[in-house]
Amino acid sequence: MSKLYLSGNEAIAYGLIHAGVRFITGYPGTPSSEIIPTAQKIIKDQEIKAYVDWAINEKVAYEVAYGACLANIKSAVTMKQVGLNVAMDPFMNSAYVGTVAGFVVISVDDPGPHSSQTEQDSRFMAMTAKIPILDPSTVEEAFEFSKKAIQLSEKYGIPVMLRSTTRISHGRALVEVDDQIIKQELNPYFKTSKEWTKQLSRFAATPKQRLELHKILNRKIGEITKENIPRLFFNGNILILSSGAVFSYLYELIEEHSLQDKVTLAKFDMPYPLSRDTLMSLTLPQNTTLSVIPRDSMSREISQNKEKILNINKTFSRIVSIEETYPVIELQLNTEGRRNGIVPKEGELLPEVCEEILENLKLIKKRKIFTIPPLKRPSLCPGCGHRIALYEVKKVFGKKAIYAGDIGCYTLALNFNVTDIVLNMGASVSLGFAFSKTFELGNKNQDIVSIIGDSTFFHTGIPPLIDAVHYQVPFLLIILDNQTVAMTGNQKTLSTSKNFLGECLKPIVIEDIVRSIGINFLEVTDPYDYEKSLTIIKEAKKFLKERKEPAVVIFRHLCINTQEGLKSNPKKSVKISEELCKGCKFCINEFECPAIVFDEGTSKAMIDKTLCISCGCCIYICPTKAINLI
Amino acid sequence: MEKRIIIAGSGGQGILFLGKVIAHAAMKQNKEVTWFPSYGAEIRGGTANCMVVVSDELIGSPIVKIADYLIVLNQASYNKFMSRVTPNGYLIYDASLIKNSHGRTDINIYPVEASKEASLIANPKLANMILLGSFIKLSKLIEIDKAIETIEEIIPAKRKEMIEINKKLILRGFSLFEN
Repeated sequence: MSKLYLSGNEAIAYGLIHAGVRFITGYPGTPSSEIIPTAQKIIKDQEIKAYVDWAINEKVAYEVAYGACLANIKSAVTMKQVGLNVAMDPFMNSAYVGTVAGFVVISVDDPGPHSSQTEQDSRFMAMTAKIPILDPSTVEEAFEFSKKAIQLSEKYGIPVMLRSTTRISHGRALVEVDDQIIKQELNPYFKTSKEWTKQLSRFAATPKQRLELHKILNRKIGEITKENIPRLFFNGNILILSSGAVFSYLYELIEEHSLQDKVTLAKFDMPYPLSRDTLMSLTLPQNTTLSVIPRDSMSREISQNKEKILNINKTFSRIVSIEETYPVIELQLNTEGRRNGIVPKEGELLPEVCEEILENLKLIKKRKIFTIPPLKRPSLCPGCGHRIALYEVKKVFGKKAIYAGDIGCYTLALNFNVTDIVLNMGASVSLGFAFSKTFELGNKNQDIVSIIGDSTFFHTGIPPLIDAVHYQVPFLLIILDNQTVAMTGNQKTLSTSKNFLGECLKPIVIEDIVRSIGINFLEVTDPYDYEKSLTIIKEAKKFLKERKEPAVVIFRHLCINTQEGLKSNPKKSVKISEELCKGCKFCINEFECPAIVFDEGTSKAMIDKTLCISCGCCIYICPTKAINLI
Repeated sequence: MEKRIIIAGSGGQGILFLGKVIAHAAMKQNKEVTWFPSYGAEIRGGTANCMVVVSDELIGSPIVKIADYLIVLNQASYNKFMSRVTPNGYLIYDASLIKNSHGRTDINIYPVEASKEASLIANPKLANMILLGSFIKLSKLIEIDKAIETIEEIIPAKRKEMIEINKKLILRGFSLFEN
């Protein structure tokens, strides 16, 4: 055994591999992205035979990983919570069909949200699908529960969700991990087994047989519910039910405010499935007079003493669920919580918010509240190819064009007015279609530009483009190709020619896809080549007007946040002339490079040398030509 | 013993790295540690902070509400986190970049000319390592040897030059204060 300093995501990867999972797919999405790279590192370092790699989107990832478990290889799929929306079809289905080898769905929620479009609760989705959920409260539990999820999945033949949150996935702590990973022979079978004929009514079920599968699923859930008993801490009249990271905060706050004899804290490792019977059968630990369970035992099972069954409503004056992020425990057990305003209905339950909740429960007095001044807003990196590309598009199309953005670093172009709407992955293309059609119906001329990244284009941008070609809907689609999934930490895209083991892959060429679906205007340019890019965008604009069909321009420039990209980037140092700079702030507002700052003292723009990477792109933008190469 | 540390500044100032070195060094002294970053990869160029808890016992929450130590590298973070330092706690800040204007009298305040010192040795981007040295001296929470060891381990050996510069900066920060 050795103690490793791991993030929650790394701990999940270790847990999966230690549990015998040998097939992992997923799609990158903060805060879930580090699970797959960590698993790749483990199998590479320890020479374990396994398949661990990214898929084109979450739906495909889900189907591929689930398919592997049906062929008797323990498998897992990883994604962020909004990714689960994309995978919802196979997710719902897999619960009915069940599993052969163990299968874990890892969905990482982002209450807050810190880096997502919604703060939806994956536990809610799993409840809809009737899939049990494990909800770790610490990094150590993220490791333990990954193994537990596989065990549970194998015991009941059901997919199991491991739901993590930003705090668990990105936090780091010490985790005790076995040094040796047991190497096992993999034994895939499907159709080759003797019982195959009996299985067909399950694997290729007709609607009638689906009803039978639903019954079986309900039976499984019923059995799991029976063995889902919470762990109890402290000994007071108010019963607080909790799971996930919030449990850890509550535990600390109860100690900090000495509420051990006022509150009983129940921890659900598995927040679904629960039944009201669970609540009725809650048993106190052996010694009911004990007030504090030592912290060391937090992660251990507490002896299950079933002698003393309590009548909940008599023993506890109130029962309140405090959980992130939607009322999953609360609705199942019909307790107080979000619905009666004790717990805020939105936002992350940080320790200070939990304190507020304890205040609402009249357990503690009003405290001093911290106010947080606004933070500096995020912006594209200095030298990012997206910035100059979108500046060029704006230069040609102007501020009146509608810019439909998408999910990626380039969403930040909204800071300098080249993105007016962002919905979800791939929606830029569908919105381009929608706006173009609606303005046409109203006989109004309107320039429409859709903006999408390379990885997002592969993910869900292709089907709406096919529709746009089929229906001949004119708008310009800009594909920003930086050859990486930059926003989530530079995962590889389909344009890669080698995998992490150095094995050959077939690179997918965006131009080939675009041409094959019948796009008649396609140009590729490096946005650093200012004049050429402007000419191409102008041609595209003309094409749209004349031909009334969609056009595509690909801007290709490596992400400068990768070693390769930074190395190959041109070095052109610039300076701002104090004489020529009129202090108009055009560069600050319309280009927004973090390396160009405004000196309030002199009322002039200046280059912050500690941030500038000398890309030289800003020389084109100054209205008074004050920015020049050195 | 449980000590809670907040480190805050802008993205790119080595905030997370500074926290990582403290956490690793504490780990080498058989402490329980947690490390928590403020943001995911989707926030570029914004404000960064990380929270480190070092303890003799198991740590419950990795989120630091009230800090025993606050290390700050820009004015916005200085303003934001100032009120979170516990009475008699420590505030260590880069005086080359921050004007001390709050004047809390119930905490120990240590201005360090970190960017200036760093630029004398290497470049001002490495102010974080100067502050690390000063933090080690003032807090006595981790041993300087363990921090140096950590630097040798987490910076790839092929960037040997970087290791030496970082060591020099840590030692410089350490020597800025008397015992």
